[in-house]
Amino acid sequence: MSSVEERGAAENTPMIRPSLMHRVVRVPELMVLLALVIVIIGFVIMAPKTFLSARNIGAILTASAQLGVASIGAAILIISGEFDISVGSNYAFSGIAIGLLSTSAGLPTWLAVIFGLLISTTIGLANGAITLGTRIPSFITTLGTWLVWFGLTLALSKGYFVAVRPNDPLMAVIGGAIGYQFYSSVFWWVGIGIVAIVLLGRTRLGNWIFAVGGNADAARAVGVPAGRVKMFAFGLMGLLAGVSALFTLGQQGSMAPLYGQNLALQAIAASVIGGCLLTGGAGSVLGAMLGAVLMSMINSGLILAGAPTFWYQTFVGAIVIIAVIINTSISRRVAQMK
Amino acid sequence: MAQETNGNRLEVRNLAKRFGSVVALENVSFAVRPGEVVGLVGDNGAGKSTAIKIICGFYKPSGGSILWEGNVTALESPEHARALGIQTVYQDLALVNTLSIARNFFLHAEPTRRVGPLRFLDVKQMNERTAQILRDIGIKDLNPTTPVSALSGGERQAVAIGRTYYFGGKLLILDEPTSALSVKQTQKVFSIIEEVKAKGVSVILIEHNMIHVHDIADRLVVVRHGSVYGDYAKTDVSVVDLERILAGAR
Repeated sequence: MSSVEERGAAENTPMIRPSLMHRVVRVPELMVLLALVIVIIGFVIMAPKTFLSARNIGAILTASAQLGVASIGAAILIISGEFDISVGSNYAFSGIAIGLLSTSAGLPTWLAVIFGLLISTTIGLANGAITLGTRIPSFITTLGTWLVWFGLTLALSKGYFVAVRPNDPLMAVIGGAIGYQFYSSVFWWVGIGIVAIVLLGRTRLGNWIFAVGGNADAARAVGVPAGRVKMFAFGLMGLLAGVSALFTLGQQGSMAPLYGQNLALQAIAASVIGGCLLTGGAGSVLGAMLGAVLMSMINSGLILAGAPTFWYQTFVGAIVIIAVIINTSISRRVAQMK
Repeated sequence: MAQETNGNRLEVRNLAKRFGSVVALENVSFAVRPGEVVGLVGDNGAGKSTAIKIICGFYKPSGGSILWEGNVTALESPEHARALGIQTVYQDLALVNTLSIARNFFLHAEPTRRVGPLRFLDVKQMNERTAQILRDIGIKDLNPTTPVSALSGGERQAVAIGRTYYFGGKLLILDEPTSALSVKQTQKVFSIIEEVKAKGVSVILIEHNMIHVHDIADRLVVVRHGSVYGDYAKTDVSVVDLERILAGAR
């Protein structure tokens, strides 16, 4: 991920500067920013009074936080060259586990939350261990574990909603309402996003995540512990699936076993819209977060414009395809110019 | 033990390697001096790759010895060989295409800055040092933030060679560095080899193109059927001679 500082430093060196065009197309978030502008203009025209209201912006951001925190994990995992299709089952399972631990098992909420995040992280690490241990593509591994954990979620919940303790102060801090339809999860999401952006762009581990996704053999050849780097990305994905479940629990006080079944694909869609290459090695956490905002905005805008909500899937699907086409042509163009 | 008594950076003596009943190397001896380019030539299956893999620490020899800077050395692993300064540049494995030149250059050796208990990448230093190194080895027209995917094959080889040199490479092993390159690109790679050679780095070059290898090498070691067939100074052997030797006419 290149940034302003990185480019600035290069400009001080007496080297040929890349052209403006060249630098612009290398910004991975460019596409999603353009799409956001187009979508905002479109919905402002279709629903001029409601779309830009504080209420609606709060609702969009709250929905963005729940999807967006998972898309941070998905983006980092995709950059490292792997996928996790099981995120939705992990989300539902760990959410229900937190509910049961805090109510049926009678644990204090903070302890239930810690156990829940440990469970979701472990599920992520297990996906990594199976994938790396057997060398099965992670797409297949996690397709399997998606069903395994979905089944276990149904078994654990017996098919019912599971609630946390009502009016729990910790849950209010994690995801309670601050204003009408605006929840504290938004702040957590932005905070986690900033940490992830710094991790990916400004630490050695971040550089290794890009490297193992771009060319694992080359990374290994210079000593990068490729297996451990990928395990980190799998574990982080699991942890953030758990955080997403916490946001839901904070917002509505309960989790249903059928919740989140689209979460993995939506998070992957948000990452791709935000500039992640499905082949690994390139992408952006900020882009994935903006991708989540775009998707939440489309969902809300369609409702406000009076369109049937099933158009949401159609819309997002089309945007994913357009995003992949544009990303591919950009990376081809970058490869052709210096 | 005395250092570099015979002036060789690397010497292999009577190297042999058997895989079960298959004899891959029978008797290979040759030496490389500091600042010398040795071309290792031979037909497919002659034993060049096996010899190289022993020198890189991938295989343990079944017989013979390796002298590194005059000392008998048992190479434990590729990491051990790398730590000594034996660096290999492979055609395809060398760089991560999606990362910038600077981020490739410092991959797994990234400079960091301490901020409280945390360590962050020193991106400015990475870019400036990479620019400096690129100039040092004669690559003047590349920006360190350019992704490697935007480089030509020759530039990639040049960057990979520059990287190994910068990180203390004393002996570079180049496995067919020009096999996929145009004439112009090949010249670029050769000029980088000349640059690192001038800085005292030894080079072992595996190359199928006899014109190329004769052009750049100081000495040519011909391997045939797992043994060294001949060890020639460049001036003592012509391209035509080499091709005849390889074809088995002499």
